[in-house]
Amino acid sequence: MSAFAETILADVRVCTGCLACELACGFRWSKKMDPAHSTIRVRRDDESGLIDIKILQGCDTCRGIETPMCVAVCNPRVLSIGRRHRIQGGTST
Amino acid sequence: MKHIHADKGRCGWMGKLLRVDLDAMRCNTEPLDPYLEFIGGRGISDRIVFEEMDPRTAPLDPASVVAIGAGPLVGTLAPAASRTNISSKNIATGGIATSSVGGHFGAEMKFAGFDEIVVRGRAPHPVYLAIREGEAELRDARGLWGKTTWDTETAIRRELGDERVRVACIGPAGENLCAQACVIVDRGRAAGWGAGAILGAKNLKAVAVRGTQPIRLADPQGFWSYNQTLLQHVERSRASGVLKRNGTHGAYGVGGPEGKTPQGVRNQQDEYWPADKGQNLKEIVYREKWEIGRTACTACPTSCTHLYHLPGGRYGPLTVEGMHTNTVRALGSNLDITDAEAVLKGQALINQLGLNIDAVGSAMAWAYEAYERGLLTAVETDGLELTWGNAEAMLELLQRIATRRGIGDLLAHGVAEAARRLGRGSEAFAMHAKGQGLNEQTVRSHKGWALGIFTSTRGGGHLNGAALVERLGMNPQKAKEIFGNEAVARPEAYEGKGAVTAWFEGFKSIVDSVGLCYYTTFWIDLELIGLEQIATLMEKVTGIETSAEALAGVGRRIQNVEKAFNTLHAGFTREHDMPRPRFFESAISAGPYAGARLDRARYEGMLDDYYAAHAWDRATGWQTAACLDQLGLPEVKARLAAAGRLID
Repeated sequence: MSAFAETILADVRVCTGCLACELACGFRWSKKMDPAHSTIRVRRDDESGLIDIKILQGCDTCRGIETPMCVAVCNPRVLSIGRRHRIQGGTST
Repeated sequence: MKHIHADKGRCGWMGKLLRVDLDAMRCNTEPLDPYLEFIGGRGISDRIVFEEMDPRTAPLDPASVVAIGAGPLVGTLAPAASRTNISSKNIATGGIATSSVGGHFGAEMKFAGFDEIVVRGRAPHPVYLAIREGEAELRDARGLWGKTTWDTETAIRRELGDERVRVACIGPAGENLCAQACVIVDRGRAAGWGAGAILGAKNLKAVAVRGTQPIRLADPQGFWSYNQTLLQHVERSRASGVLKRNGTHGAYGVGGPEGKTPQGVRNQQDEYWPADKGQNLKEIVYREKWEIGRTACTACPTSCTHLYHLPGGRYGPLTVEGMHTNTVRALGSNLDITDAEAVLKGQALINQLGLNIDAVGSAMAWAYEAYERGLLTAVETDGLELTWGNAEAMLELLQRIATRRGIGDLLAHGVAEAARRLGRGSEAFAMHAKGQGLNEQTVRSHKGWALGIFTSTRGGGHLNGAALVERLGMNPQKAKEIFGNEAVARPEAYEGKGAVTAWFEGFKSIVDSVGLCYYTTFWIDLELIGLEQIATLMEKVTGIETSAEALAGVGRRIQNVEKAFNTLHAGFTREHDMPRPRFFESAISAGPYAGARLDRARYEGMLDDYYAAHAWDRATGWQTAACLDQLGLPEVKARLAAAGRLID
């Protein structure tokens, strides 16, 4: 991924782990509630309570759609679209 | 409801019910279709428990049935459509037990391929049920027996080699058959009302689910568009904002927004806790000292749960979620405890041991009062000083109850049975509803709230018929427009409360059956999701044409199934819908509601109105033939008639 390519950015500090982004992303691909086909993965570490968000290969930031679907359902405003390569406070692959 | 989609039961629903026979150690899959008129979740679970349990079967008997269901909206993006319902016979009351729990278990259960799991029998040794990709297996859980719920979840994920496995499990309290044992989901979310002990008696330590099967939608684009509007509506609502910011703790608990929500104090002898005590347990104390984030159930825009971390101190390191208003009352005001850190530790223990906060809280408060009155002595408590405000005693007592050590063994029977066993006049201050331990607020001041608690089919709890509308500050005209009676908005009024309670009972039955959370609905904010919106969601997800009116009818049917279960299994009559004497006899001592208490004659009048709204018999509280005919429940009618408990 280019350092300047548009990508989904995540501020994990405010993520509640509701997984709406996974459902929305799966819906984008299959028109079903289908998180297995999502290209975003959210996981909470139970011991520390910390959230980890990964954007998987295959995410095209919903090209052709005004607002990426994961961003559209993200109530705590964790997700946004932008051009930074590194995800703030989280990891990306 | 009318089916308009050709592939009935295949959108929204996964279409499968899993039967688990622990006597035979066998799992079978059945189609869900025969049950769809009861929607899912609570509705289908109730019907199964009603039909398949003999009234003579005790809750802990192997023949006892537990039904775990996730409704058709669960696993979709519908706001907070996360709820799993567990129905069974209630250990504390002998009647029905239903409990709705959030987290992510329900959605994963659907992705694993099932809407409903029905368990009966008793395994020859501890096992857990693993459901992955439509396949179920019973796995050895001897190595898990004795573990806390948190360690159980970790161990199962490790054994199955998948960190996304979701686990519903019991802790030591369930293994030791405590009446207060519940099922814990995702470490901090509880399905209460005794189902934990029933799973313990069945040697079923946990249910683990994981899958990648998609949930089909009847009208994908229509659902997405409608749901986006609904999500934004919930997000912008006052109730969602308050819950997000303050949790139920700050919104309705000790030191709530106006600092004047009456809380049970010292075993509910009073409902006024002075500010110099209450301020120690205010939500902001926890937020400023220990909060590290918020957590949400599947697809919930509200995230009412706050996540706390104690880095050190007396109990750290410790990460805890699930602190709600009931925690602060049960482990705080109702025991006169002001130690915020100990209350947080208590919440962690409750989750780890697998205990129901209301049931265990009421048993402990009863024990503290018995100790104060000299009816329980330090000899009988093995030196534990159950004096009001003693937080360390509370933490020790939780451990003793879950492991049934010493005085804990007595309390593990539940407050009503413990009082019966101890005697010495202690039954008079055993605080329960139908035998189920009570941990309440605003019972004396808010009359409809009280009615909803004491008529609740599961025995207490304010998340059924208790109408929050009394606290929403409605103007009388709006109350009349919506509920047909301006008095419903006034806490002190008895008028109109019977009909409103009956209506909310049916509404909650639907909310629990489709799988939504009460906190995103009309119950908590009159601008939020009501039956019309649920009907639209159901149509777009399932393809089944329905309406608010049709759903209200299903809600009434579900209520009547539960009511009949109570009549047949527990023999409840009108007297079981009455509050404990304390709520009539002692008034709130101070504060905005000083002097408030329930008036017996006026409560009786409110109860008459409630039975009339249900078309039940006023003298006995039993169901009438006309009511069951109108609802189309001939099998319920036949069973009641055969037992001589139907009013013609």
